[in-house]
Amino acid sequence: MTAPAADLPMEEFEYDDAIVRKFAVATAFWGLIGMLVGLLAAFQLVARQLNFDVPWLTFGRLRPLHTNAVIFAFVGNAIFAGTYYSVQRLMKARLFSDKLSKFHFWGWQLIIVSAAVTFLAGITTSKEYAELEWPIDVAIAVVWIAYAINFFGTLAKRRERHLYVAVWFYIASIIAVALLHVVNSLALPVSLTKSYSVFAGVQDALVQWWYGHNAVAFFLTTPFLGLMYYFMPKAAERPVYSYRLSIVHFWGLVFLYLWAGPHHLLYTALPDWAQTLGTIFSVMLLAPSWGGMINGLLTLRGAWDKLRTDPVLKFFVAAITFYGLSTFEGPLMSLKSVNALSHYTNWTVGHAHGGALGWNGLFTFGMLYWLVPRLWNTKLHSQRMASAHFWLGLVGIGFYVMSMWVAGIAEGLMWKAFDAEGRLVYGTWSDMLPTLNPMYIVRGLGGALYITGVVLMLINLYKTIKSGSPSTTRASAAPLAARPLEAHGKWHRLLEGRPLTFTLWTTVAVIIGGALEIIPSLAIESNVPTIASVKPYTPLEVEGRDIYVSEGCYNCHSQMVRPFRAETVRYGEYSKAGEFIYDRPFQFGSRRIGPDLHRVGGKYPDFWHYNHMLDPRSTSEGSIMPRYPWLYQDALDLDLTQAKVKAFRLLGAPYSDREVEEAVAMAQAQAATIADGLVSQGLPDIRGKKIVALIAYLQRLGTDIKKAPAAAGGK
Amino acid sequence: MKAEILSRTEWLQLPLVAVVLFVAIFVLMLAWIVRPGASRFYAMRGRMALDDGEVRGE
Repeated sequence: MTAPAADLPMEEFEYDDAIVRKFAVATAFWGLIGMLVGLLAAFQLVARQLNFDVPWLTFGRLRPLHTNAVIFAFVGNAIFAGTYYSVQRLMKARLFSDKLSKFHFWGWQLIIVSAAVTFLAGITTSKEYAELEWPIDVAIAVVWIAYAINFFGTLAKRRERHLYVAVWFYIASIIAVALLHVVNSLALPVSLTKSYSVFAGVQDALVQWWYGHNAVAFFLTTPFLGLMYYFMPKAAERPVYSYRLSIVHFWGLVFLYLWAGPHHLLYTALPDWAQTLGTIFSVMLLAPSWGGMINGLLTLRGAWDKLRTDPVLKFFVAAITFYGLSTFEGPLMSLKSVNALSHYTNWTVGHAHGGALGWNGLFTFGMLYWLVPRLWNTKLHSQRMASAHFWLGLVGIGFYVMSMWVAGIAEGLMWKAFDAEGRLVYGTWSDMLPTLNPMYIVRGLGGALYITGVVLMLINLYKTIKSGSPSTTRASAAPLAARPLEAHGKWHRLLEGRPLTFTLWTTVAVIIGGALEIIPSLAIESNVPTIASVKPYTPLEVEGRDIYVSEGCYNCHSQMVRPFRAETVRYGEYSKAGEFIYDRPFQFGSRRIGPDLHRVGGKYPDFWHYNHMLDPRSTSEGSIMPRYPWLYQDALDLDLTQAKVKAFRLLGAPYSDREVEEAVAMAQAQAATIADGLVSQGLPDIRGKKIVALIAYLQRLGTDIKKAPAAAGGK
Repeated sequence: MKAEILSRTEWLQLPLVAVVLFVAIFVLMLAWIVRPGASRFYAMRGRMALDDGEVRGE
């Protein structure tokens, strides 16, 4: 802040609050939609009838819709509302372009609607939080660039010399999200609605979780830290506790975060060196994260009494506390000994929701309660309703997170339990469901409480808006050129007073971690020892794999047998990196609502799979898996089969010319073999139906390595 | 992988040098940030969020 001398020429201008109003309303609207979808998905695990035997209402399609709606629609719109409001005031300048602002808003809403439609239609890449197909990925890149131009253009026309710490976090977010999105979305299209990742197997997994982890970092964390550094002082009417600490917080966080992604792949077929790096940097992340939490909370020093009466501060303080809890729990779960128990369980779901509902959700609600009265030039309709919302939200999160902790730890222990004779105590999946079911119910109730609070907020904000009118905020500041340089802070000005230099150094800090992990994993062949018996999928299996992806099977089933006795006894030989070299995208999964499927090939006859997919309870007592009757009715479409095989060959799969030319005929022949076998056992002829391709794929899973045991290498 | 990279150099102290450099730069930057003479500068920066430059309008 430069205190302008009295004789400085002052310029008057208006802030563009209309765009902030639009994003604020979109935040509230999409928040409710995204959370309602999540609530339905939660109760589908309690009562599978809630899948209604309707393709677009099944858990596998709703879960990515829920995660994407909450992350990119609810949180995304909140980020844009908060950054556009604060960057104008911090830079004492109207946004760079009103047209770009409108393009940004409507473009983003169009992307959200496109995402909802395509997910429900089963159009997905299956890469978590990046499931959108390539045309929408291109649209995201275009809209993000518009946002970046609008943001950096505002910095260019600023009237304030120094970039405040909130702006640093916004810069890091814009740069990192662009980088993550572009690299992780690299794919070869075969049609408007289908593409294949340019990365395969463990390399695809490393890139995906580099993206997935850092989407949490640079979409769910750093923008909100920027918002915290702006809105917390505003609400508390106190300066930030320690500007020194904020410098350490920022640089520590942006440098360390990008290295931690591999902690999502511990004990998998990912090379050990990458797993170790992920763990070490995850533990180091605790320091800057807690520095930021302390800085946010202590901003309220001397004003803690306001917590009793101000609902905005209640939301902010609880949100920052959840940030601290999540950033402690994350490093804890990235320790290999803890991860061996927690990974693939509900503990991860509890951790993710502690962050999303607690940190992002509560902070966004506090920000909306602070912003909306100001944007509509009025007072909040009801402080009591806002306080009631706070307590409903807090209790809801408590129910949710604690039930998932209990369920996760119970699951992890049950998976590993052996009796005195060395047999698995819980040998079948349905043995474990009675323990988990009450926890799923409590989780759903927690979610319902949280959403009740959101409904209260919507009513409160609606009545607030009705009682006011859109305000026009005028401001006054001296132009940058007329402002004298301060005597102190010369070295800070070289960085924090120069947006371009600052952005370049931030980019370097962001890139180092990712580059040093991803480039060696792609460039050094010894990371993925090949296995001679592992061959590309047949054309019919390719189609079956696409159906597996389309139905979102990866949301409930992993394909990664970890090297634990409990897993090798339950599933079979542990998974090797060389087994996944033709998997585009990889299907390791991140959660086992059902059992791992990597060694399911050949475990059961085709007859079993036919009955299981038609009604899982006919083969697995008490199963919570939905029925898939449409796979027996929908025709198997082979129009793109040849193009798909060609695309895989282009990406390195050794298909012969004959296999490409005769891809459709080969698929039909394999389908006929499977169908004839089932017909001979008294089942209907399924040769032209989707289910035949899915059976072919499932029967292939994890079988290549069994053909030549001697050729199987290590990790 | 580490062994593979290191096999291409004869300078086996490389990882140690990298760690020492990393820690030294971090400590020097930390010392510079907390230098006592800069308190007033940081106090002014810390108040930036409170100044909107707003002239409350219609």
